[in-house]
Amino acid sequence: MTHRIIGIGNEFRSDDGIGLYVAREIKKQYPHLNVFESDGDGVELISHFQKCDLLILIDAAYTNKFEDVGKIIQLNASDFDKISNIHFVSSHNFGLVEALKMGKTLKILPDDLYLYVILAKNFDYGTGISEQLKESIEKIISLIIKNHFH
Amino acid sequence: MKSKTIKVDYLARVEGEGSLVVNIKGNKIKDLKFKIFEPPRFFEAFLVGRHFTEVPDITARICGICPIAYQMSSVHAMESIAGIKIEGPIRDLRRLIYCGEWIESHVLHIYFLHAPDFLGYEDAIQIAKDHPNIVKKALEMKKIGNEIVNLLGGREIHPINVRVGGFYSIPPKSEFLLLIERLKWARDAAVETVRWAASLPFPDFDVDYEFVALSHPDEYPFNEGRLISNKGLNIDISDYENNFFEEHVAYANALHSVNRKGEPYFVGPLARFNLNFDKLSPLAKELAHEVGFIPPVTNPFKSIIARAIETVYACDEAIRLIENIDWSTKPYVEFEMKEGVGYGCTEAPRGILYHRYRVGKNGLVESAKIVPPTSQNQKQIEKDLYEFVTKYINLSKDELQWKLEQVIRNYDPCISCATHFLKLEIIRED
Repeated sequence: MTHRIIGIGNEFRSDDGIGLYVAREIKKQYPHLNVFESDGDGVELISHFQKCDLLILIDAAYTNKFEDVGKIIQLNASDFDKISNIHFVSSHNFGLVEALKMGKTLKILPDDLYLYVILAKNFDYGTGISEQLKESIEKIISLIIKNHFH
Repeated sequence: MKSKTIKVDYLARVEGEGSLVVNIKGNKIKDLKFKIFEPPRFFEAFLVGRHFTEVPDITARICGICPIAYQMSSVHAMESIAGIKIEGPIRDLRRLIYCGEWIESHVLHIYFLHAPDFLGYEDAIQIAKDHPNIVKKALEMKKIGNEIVNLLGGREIHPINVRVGGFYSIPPKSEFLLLIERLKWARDAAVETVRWAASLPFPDFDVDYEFVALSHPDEYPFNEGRLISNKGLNIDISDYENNFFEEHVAYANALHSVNRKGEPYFVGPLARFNLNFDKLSPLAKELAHEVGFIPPVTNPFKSIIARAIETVYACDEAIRLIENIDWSTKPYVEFEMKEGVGYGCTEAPRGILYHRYRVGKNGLVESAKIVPPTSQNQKQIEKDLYEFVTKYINLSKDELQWKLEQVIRNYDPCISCATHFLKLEIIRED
């Protein structure tokens, strides 16, 4: 089975970079895995859909509740109707949500598709992620490895 | 007199954050503002103090859709300071990578951002429900553009292989030759796109624009040429700031550009097409004749046809370049940097992108000025909106709103670039 893990984000928009940090850490710890980084351009994401059977996407989403920062939401392909309720932050008018909807419409989504969403609050210009999010990196890596590569 | 308020909170299918507010009272416009509120990004400020060699990679970060344009304008500016002119295969390779960017950017705008306006769909996902093959074809076309950028630029988004003097490395010819058959397919698909685009319904709306674009004696412009217009402008790019001026408006974070008379002007595919028609490839010209798209074209809604014709051209040119480039070239030319001021102006997918830098003795940037195409078109977009509302003031609220969004998208504005995101609000008092 071919797999792809894609960390999505913009490391110059603070916590939005966490998807990229997770991807880099997976690559470091598990060099045999196929890890990619994406800035969230939807058309680019679509180009990955038909190149694997298992696709794992990691991205940050906005929450205005301080107590939810760092919370991890796991979705699979059957949950994707819920994605409209998640506030992904993107300057792309055709981003992750649109890519997933387009993939579903065109029936080109991989058989196994999982989305790991980390809730975050600070999407201001700047580098580095909030202290509260740092422990989420290892948590999400453990979850991905346990759920898909054990 | 009765008053009416129309409010639309979000304008989609435009890169970045911005808004439109239209206040109509009776049958007159009380106020109209095309606002850009994406925060300023201060690129010009934080380039100061950076080494000149870093500038192409930093400026590429301004835009995920047209990073090549930023790299090209910056390297040409730096090379003008160094007193070198890049010729031969490296110059050709720069045209090739620009072809890739035009293909990916134009196809994205034609099918994903602009087509829904003409076909009456909310977005491209709705088009995909009814016409999946059209969308699949567009994705494939765009992918070919991305692959050129990926191959020559090192990666698709924010490429890293462009440097002052050329490229860091040049991939083997064999990798490019693999693209030729697919580029021929993309060219055929682009030909179909031109015929389809020309068959769309266009509102009756012509404007006496000043079109501004680069013009080169031997080629359709990407990287070089003089700045010309249909109103008599013919200047060296170093004279840009004596002819075009930036104005701050209180309601927008992007500066408005005006010409020497303080008036708006038009940059982008339609301007390039009108001013450089004779330099298109024979196929692109023949196609323009076939669909009756002959300059001067002054209906901004028809920009979609110009984009499609330029996509044909970019595929044609990419094939020609790949087949003819001397691939044994060294990837860059050696040079010694000097201190001084340099200018770069290249044709980004959305129009001319002007850069000016002053570099000191130590090779550090002392000042930078960047004027993106959307910033230059912003005042013209606002004027188009005003004239469109004036002409079509009796349209229903929904129809007017739909068309006004389309007026903005005619320019494929990239607000992220211009600020250095789009919400729409129409207040109708009648």
